[in-house]
Amino acid sequence: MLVLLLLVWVPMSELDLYEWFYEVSRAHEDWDLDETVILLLLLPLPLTWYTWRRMREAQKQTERLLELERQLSHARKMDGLGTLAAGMAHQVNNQLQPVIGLSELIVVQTAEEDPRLRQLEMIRDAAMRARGSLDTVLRISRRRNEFGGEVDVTQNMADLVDMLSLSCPSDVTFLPIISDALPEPKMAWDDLESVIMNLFSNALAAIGGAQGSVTFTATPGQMSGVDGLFLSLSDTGVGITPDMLSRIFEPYFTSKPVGEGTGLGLWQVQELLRNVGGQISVDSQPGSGAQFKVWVPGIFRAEDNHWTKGSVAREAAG
Amino acid sequence: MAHILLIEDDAAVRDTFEIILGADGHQVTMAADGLQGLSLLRTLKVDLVLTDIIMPNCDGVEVIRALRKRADAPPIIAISGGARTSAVNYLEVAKLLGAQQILSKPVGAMELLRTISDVLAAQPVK
Ligand SMILES: Nc1ncnc2c1ncn2[C@@H]1O[C@H](COP(=O)(O)OP(=O)(O)OP(=O)(O)O)[C@@H](O)[C@H]1O
Ligand SMILES: [Mg+2]
Repeated sequence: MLVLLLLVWVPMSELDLYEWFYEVSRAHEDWDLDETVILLLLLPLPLTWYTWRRMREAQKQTERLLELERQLSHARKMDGLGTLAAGMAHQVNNQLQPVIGLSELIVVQTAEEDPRLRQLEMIRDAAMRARGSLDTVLRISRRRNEFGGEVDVTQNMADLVDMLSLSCPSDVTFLPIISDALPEPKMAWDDLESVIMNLFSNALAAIGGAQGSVTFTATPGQMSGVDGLFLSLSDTGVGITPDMLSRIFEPYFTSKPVGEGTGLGLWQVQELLRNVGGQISVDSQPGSGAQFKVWVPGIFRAEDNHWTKGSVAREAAG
Repeated sequence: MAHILLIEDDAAVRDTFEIILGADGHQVTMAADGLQGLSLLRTLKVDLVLTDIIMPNCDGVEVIRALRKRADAPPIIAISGGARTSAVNYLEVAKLLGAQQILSKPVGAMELLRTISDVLAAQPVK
């Protein structure tokens, strides 16, 4: 832009072009030359503004990328071991499948008095033990926070919300509203997930095949001075009658036909929460849906704060 | 016996399941991923679908979702070798989505056959 201005200005002042221009414009008033010049001089303004806007955008984009990269490397560091273990366990489980599947098949096809039966059983049992070791690794890598490891709540919530929306029938609208500043739950993530999944599947069951919506919210909040997470799952399903309301948390209480529900879902949810000092309550009117509210104690980790403000939860909620 | 569609990307596991199912007299059609499985299902009528969960090219979760949309969907058994590297347990999701049963790999021959006959027995006779 500057160069352009110089290109116009230098020859004009050097070569006395102003004089010439003045003469010409006087001679041809009808050409409106003054206006044209003013217009030309104004042209750089929007161009400058546009360039500046683009630069700002590019700068923001770079910042976003840097932030993402920072988050990623943080996540990698935290996840490295667990991811490796989980990936490996998955692979080895596949590799063990022929050993376990086929040895067992041959065991049942082999006559009792065949001396090779014992050898086959040894192969099968060794593979079974290997499966057991892998299960332990998987369990530990999944339940890291039981062992005091950190959990990326924002990412985990985003993953969970993805899964829930994936499993929502097309007639049901799923509305997740997830805060991006949640504390880390003082509860194994698997267990918290199990709580939410149970409430979610109950909500879907209450809607039945009909049209409806399920709202899932997760916000930070305190309960008698203790930090924690407030979760709620509300649905537009059939609702719960007052006499049922007092019984739904009982083990084996179910309104579902035999073979469809165990009636253990809500009981498990309540037990899991009781174990960690959490709470659950329910609000419902027959015919106008139900709302389950959960509180789980949690902690804010100091170094987490920059990190929980990531964009992931916002995107998931949007 | 039953006609079973087996969707599994790992060739060794696929062959293993084919042998086990065959030993119980089932007829087996095989697909190497979800996409192939779904396209087979467009023309093929089966009594049961046995699908892996974690596969390239349309995984088991998508297969179950696509199948559930159909009124005459066959029952589904989902089978997986472990967690994908996220916080979510995919077998739980499969169940939530409507798989009749879920199994973890490696699964014993007898457990597999028993699960299949249970699921088939629970189906209303047509
Ligand atoms: N959101 C809801 N709306 C209406 N009724 C509900 C809701 N959630 C639970 N209930 C009632 O509470 C009962 C007990 O729920 P619970 O989760 O313990 O068992 P279930 O859902 O019947 O069985 P399972 O969890 O094994 O599938 C349900 O059968 C249902 O009658
Ligand atoms: Mg339930």
